[in-house]
Amino acid sequence: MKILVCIKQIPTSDININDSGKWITEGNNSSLAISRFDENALEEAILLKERFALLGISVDIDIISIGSQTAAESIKRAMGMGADNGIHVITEDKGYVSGAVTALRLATMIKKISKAENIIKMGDAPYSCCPYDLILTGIMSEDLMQAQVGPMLAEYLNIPCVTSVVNIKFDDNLNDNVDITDKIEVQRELEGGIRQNIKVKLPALLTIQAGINQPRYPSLSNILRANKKKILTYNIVDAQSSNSFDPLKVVRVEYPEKKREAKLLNGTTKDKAIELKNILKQRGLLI
Amino acid sequence: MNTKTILVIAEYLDGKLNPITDELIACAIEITKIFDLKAKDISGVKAISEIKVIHVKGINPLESEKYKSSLVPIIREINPSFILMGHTSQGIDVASGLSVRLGCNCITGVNKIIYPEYVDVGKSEDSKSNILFSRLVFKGKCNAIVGVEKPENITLLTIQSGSFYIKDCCKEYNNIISNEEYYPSNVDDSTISLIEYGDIAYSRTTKSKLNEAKVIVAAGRGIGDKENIEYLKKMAACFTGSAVAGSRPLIDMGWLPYEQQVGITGAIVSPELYLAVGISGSSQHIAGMKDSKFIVSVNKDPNAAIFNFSDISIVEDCLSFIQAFIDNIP
Ligand SMILES: Cc1cc2nc3c(=O)[nH]c(=O)nc-3n(C[C@H](O)[C@H](O)[C@H](O)COP(=O)(O)OP(=O)(O)OC[C@H]3O[C@@H](n4cnc5c(N)ncnc54)[C@H](O)[C@@H]3O)c2cc1C
Ligand SMILES: Nc1ncnc2c1ncn2[C@@H]1O[C@H](COP(=O)(O)O)[C@@H](O)[C@H]1O
Repeated sequence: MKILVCIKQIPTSDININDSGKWITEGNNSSLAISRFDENALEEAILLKERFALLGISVDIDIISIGSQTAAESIKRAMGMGADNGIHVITEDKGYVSGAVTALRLATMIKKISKAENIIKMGDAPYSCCPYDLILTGIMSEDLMQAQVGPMLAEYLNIPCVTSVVNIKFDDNLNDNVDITDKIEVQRELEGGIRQNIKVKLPALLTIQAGINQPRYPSLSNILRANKKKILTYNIVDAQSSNSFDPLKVVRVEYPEKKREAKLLNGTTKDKAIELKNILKQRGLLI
Repeated sequence: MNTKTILVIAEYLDGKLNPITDELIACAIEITKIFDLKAKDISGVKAISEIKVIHVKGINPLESEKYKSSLVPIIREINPSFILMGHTSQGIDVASGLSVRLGCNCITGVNKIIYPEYVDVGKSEDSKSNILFSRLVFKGKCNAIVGVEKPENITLLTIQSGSFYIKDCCKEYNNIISNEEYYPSNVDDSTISLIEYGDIAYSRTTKSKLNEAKVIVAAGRGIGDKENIEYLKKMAACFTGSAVAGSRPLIDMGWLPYEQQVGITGAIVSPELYLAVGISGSSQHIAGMKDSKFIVSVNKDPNAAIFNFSDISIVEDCLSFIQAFIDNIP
């Protein structure tokens, strides 16, 4: 069984609007991380691998990330957590890339890789073109927050998609007649504590919501193993398809308007604490 | 060819109309206003002629693969310039995939409609797009102002709830709004056979003690560690009728129970005082607490989005601040 996890590297430092006003700059102590929901997606893939291993089914986890040179660190971290192979599509595009473009690039890469490695999965046509049984993405990226790439990628690959997944189950009744990798049961989350149960045939794409698991830390043995492995790298032109022009364009970035006064308290920590107490007392909120 | 239609897809859950639908209509009116302004600016551009609200019946919108398939022929028939859906769990599930099937532009989480300052072609980069859309990026710290490269294509938008309101002045547009029911005929799509939609489970209770609290002291990931919840409790103890709450990640990590989660997938609260400590202010959290009477936020990042929704802003390390607050009884 093969699982693909799509991960994105995002800045976690403070960000500011840059001088051109068209995009952002990262703060001084710039640090990068895997977008939080993608870490949940990755953890879920590893948990599935462990659960399938108990049933004697081996699972291979691929990681794909489209990003700058530094994204390799995030791929390495993912392999340190337990992923098997890394695919890095290098781009120096720093600005806004719309979901449609990223999804199309991912789809193009997936099709290309599957041909190269000739790992076409059996199954019912016309879905046989997807080389993965399961593709996981985050519900949304923490920087662009589009919640688009997963559902769009599923369309490009022509496989079913379930968004906001908070639970994955599979039928682990070992029975010769049933292929347990054929179908999984998932639960997706709606507003107000509502959940929907869905059974979906593989291959499928799931977008993962936080709360499904607690992402683990990379282990030393996995890091050592990962260091020995090569990340497959491609240039962004490899992921280009004939119609990959960006339908959207960011003309500028703005700080949102203030909905309330946002009175800033000044002075030392102690000054601020005392001033806040006085304000709250005046308002009868503190005795 | 000059008549433009805006298509609003009414959202239903369990056969009941979701209130987001009103916000979609309000947004459609905003778009109409901009095209009206434009019509005055340059001749030849015709204003919006119709806002069509469609109510798709006889199909469960939560069966999203089926729902997507049934919407395609309806949209092709109407051939609108804009399609509006909610940026809700349903909208997120359907809109992006639908846009690929339609080959149209798609912008998610739109919170504002903007009239480009320069409409003359060539004057600025805004010129190509005859209307701009604002959406949050970077945990809500800024808005990206987005235009479409091919405005002649259909543009599908999902609308951030809480961004548009039907106002009195909208009444003048009543005559262009029409409501129509659609009963999709047999939808044919091979993806449908691959997915089986089961029950809806109300597994988590939405009843929360938070609704009774006069003061809510809420923490986010900025609190740093599970142990530090103790500090939060001490701070809450300074107030009468108080409760402790948290942003979703704290609940996901098991630091606080689900009943104490504030936000779109947790409790919607409006206490006398909401004290937010180490919370960035993502739209999903804001939706749960923005109606609080008085909001005080503590965050080490002066650009944190939560400050845009606060009466009092305190730029501080949250633990040091809590300590100072507890210690200093003037
Ligand atoms: C469909 C969906 C539904 C969701 N529903 C909800 C919901 O109901 N409720 C909810 O809360 N979220 C919800 N989320 C998650 C939401 O998008 C955010 O990820 C979440 O609200 C962020 O929580 P946070 O502010 O605690 O963490 P972060 O965004 O990580 O923010 C932490 C903040 O702490 C500050 N900080 C860090 N260290 C310190 C320090 N030492 N002192 C002071 N400040 C510090 C940082 O500057 C930052 O602003 C949902 C997401 C999705 C996709
Ligand atoms: N550049 C990228 N490389 C790999 N995966 C990505 C990339 N951008 C987005 N994704 C995936 O798509 C999800 C949703 O992103 P978005 O639509 O931008 O909110 C993310 O959580 C990732 O799993």
